[in-house]
Amino acid sequence: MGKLIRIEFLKIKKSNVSNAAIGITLISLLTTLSGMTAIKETSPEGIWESLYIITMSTYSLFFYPILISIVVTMMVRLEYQNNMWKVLFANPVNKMKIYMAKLSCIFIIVGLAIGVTTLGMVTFGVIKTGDFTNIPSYIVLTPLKAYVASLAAITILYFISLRFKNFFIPLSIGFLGIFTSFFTTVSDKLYPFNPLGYASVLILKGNNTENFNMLILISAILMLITLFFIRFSFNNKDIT
Amino acid sequence: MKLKNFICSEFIKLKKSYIFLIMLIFPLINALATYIVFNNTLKNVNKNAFLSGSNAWNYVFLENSVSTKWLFLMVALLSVIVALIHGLDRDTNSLKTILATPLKRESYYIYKFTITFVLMMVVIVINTLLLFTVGKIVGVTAAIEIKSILKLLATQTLTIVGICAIQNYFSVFSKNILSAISIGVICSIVGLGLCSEQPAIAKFFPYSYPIFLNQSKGLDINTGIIFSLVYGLIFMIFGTIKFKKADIA
Repeated sequence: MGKLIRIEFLKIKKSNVSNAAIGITLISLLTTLSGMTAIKETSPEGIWESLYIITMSTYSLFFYPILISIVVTMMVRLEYQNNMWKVLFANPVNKMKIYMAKLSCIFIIVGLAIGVTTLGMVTFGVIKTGDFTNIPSYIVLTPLKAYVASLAAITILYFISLRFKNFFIPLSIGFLGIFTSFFTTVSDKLYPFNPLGYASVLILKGNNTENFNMLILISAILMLITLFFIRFSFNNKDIT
Repeated sequence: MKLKNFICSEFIKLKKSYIFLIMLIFPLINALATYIVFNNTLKNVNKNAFLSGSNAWNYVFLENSVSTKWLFLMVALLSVIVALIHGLDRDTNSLKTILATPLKRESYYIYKFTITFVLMMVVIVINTLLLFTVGKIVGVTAAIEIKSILKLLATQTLTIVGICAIQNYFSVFSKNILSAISIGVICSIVGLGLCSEQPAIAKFFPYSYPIFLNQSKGLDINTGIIFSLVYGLIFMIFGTIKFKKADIA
C-alpha cells in the first residue's frame, strides 16, 4: 500500500495537479495578505479574529471546494487519458488497494493544501501581533475539523469521477457544491443534506459555541457507505 | 450555410455528453436557491422592493445574483462548457481529421466561439425564465417590464464575450484542458474579490465584468460591456492568427 501511494506521488510530480494545488493555496494566501493591511483592530484577539474571517470566508466558500473537485478530477483523468486503468488492473494487486492508494493520495494533497494555508495564516498572525505564545486554538482546530468533515465530499466526488468517464460531470457537481453551500450556510435546517458544504459550514460557523461534531460523524458514515459502493460497483468490473 | 452545418454537427456530437443536463441543472439549482433565500430571509418581496426603491422584478433579479452568486457560477459554467467543447475534439484526436478537411482554420476557431456563446445564451435565457417562475411563486405583484428584462439579458450576454474569447484561447492552446478550467474558475473568484475590494483594478480585469451587474459602488456596467467587447476582439484576432500558424500534433 505504501509503495502504491508513493507511485501515485511520482505520477503527479510533473502534472498539473500539484500546480493547481500550489496555485490555489498561493492565491488564497495573497488575498489574506492584501486584506491584512485593512485590519484596524489593536487587541491580539481582534487581530486573530479578523485574520481568520478574511482568510477563511473566501477559502471555505470558493477555494477549498474548487481545490477538491479539480484535484479529484485530475487524478482520475490522469488514468483515463492514457488508458492506464488496464495496465494498473493487470498488476497482481487487489483492485481495491489501487483505488484506495489513489484516494489516500488525494487526501494527502488536500490536507497539505489546507495545512499550508492554515500555517500561512498563523505566520501572518504571529508577524502582526508579534507574539507566538497566545495563538487561539480555533485558528488551527477549525480547519482541521473542516478537513475531516470534507472527506465524505472527496470520496463522493471520487466515486462519481470513477463512474463517469467524462471529466466534466464530477467537476460540475463540485461546482454545484460551491453553489449549494451558499444557501446551506445561510439556513439552519438544510446543511446536513449537502455533504459538499460541510467544510464551509464548519469553518464559517464552527468557531462559535455551536457544536458541529455531529457533522464529522455524519461525514464519516457517508464516507464508509461510499467506500462500500466503490467496493461493490468497481471491484468486479470488467477491464475495458 | 457552413456555420449552420457546423453547429448542427457539433450538436450531434454533444448529444450524448450530458452537457444539456448540466445546462438545465445549474439554472434549476439557482432557482431553488433563490426560492430558499426569499422564503427564509427576505419575506414579503413587494415590501422589500418598495423599500429599496426599485421594481419588484428587478429586485428579484438583483437579489438572485447577489445572494446566490449566480454570476460567478455562470462564469464557472462557461469555462467548463468551453473546455468540454474543445475537449471533445482533442481527447479523441479528431482535430487532425477536422483540419484536414477543406474547412478553414479561422472558421473553425470562430465557429467554436460561436457555439459556446450560443450555449451560454441558452443558459442565461433558461435562468431568466426560471426566475420568472420563482417570482410568480413567491408572489411578486408588479407588472412585467419587458424592456428592462431584455436589457438585463443583453448586458449579461455582452459582458461574457470577453471571457468566452479568453477561455477559447486557453482551451485551444493549453496542454491540459483542466488547467484551462482552473484558470477560468480561479480568475472568476479573483474578479469577484476585486469588484468588492479594489474597483479601480476591476475595471481592467475581464473576469469581473459580469459582476458589475451587482451594482456595487463605482462600477458602471457600460464600461464593462465596452471593455468586454474590446477584450473579446483582441483575443479572437490574436487567437485566430496563432491558431492558423500552430502545429497540430
